[in-house]
Amino acid sequence: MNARAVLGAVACALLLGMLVWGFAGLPPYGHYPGPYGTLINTVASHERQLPNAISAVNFDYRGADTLGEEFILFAAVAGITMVLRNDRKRTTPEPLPPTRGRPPAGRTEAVRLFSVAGVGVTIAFGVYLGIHPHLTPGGGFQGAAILAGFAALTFVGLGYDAFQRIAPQTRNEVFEAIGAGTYAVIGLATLAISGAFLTNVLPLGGNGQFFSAGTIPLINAFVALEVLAGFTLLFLEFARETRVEKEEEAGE
Amino acid sequence: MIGLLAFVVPAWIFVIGLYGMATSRHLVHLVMCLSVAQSATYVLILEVGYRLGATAPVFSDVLSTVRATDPVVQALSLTDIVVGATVSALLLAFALRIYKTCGTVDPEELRPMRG
Repeated sequence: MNARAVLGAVACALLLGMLVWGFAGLPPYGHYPGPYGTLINTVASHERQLPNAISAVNFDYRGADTLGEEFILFAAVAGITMVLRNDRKRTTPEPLPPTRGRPPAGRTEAVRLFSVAGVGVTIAFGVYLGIHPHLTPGGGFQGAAILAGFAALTFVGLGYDAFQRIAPQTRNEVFEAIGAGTYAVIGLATLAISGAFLTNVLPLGGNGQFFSAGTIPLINAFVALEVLAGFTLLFLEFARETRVEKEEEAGE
Repeated sequence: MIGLLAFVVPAWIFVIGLYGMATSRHLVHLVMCLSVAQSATYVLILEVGYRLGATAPVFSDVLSTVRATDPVVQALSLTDIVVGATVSALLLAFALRIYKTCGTVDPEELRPMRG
């Protein structure tokens, strides 16, 4: 037995111990006490006039946490843009193996058809899910993640050039900044109006109405914008990597 | 019994992901394994907030007095998913970068911190 195996065995034993210890401390399955969640379930419907208690937690009661979450996404996208930038000038040790033997950018009519047809469905479903955070189990994060699927479909169906024309880098960067920034601005505005960060200051409307629940759909809309632009930016960054290979091959 | 099984599932997903990471010979495979290990937390979080016989905490067609699962843990799992997605994306970008600088995606072949 070498040192590596011994170390692995010790680590596995420790992990098993930690897992058993951790699981033993959990509340019994199906009997979660959680007074906080129970309280929100009871009061959210009339306090915020919305049926979806999860969105009430996300965009209202713990809205400050979601602001942080949104900036995690923002920072990650900025980080990826930084990690992947300036690769055009660099010479790679060798071209990526999968792209080497592949014929350049040929796609069949079937791929093109289904990708372009899929764009419409993706956008319709994404918008439907994204604009009903207060009424159904949907919301800006989920809706925009699906909506960003249009970026992948455009890239697959029409290629990098078309993708870049439909969703230019700068526009996505601006939208992402607006989405992230406006959330913070809404927080500061509510702070100025009511004296507490992200208090629901707008009229609540009637439970189940599209225009209801005060600031929740508004914040959600800007979260959706941020997520959509952020994800599209990610796709653009990764799609550009395939582009670099082609340009180099053309230059050889 | 069902309670035990409910907690065995996330533990198994976590351990299998960890095993994949430890034995991985490809950085993209490693990131995927990390995603698998991380998805154990979604299952665990949702199970912790579950209540026997309860509905989802969306009161469109049921009264708010109906027994429902905990909305806080479900909101948490949303955060968890967003963080998981960003971590994967960032690590994949690093994997690309490592390939360009070192010419390999096998963690075994990467010499630690050559500077």
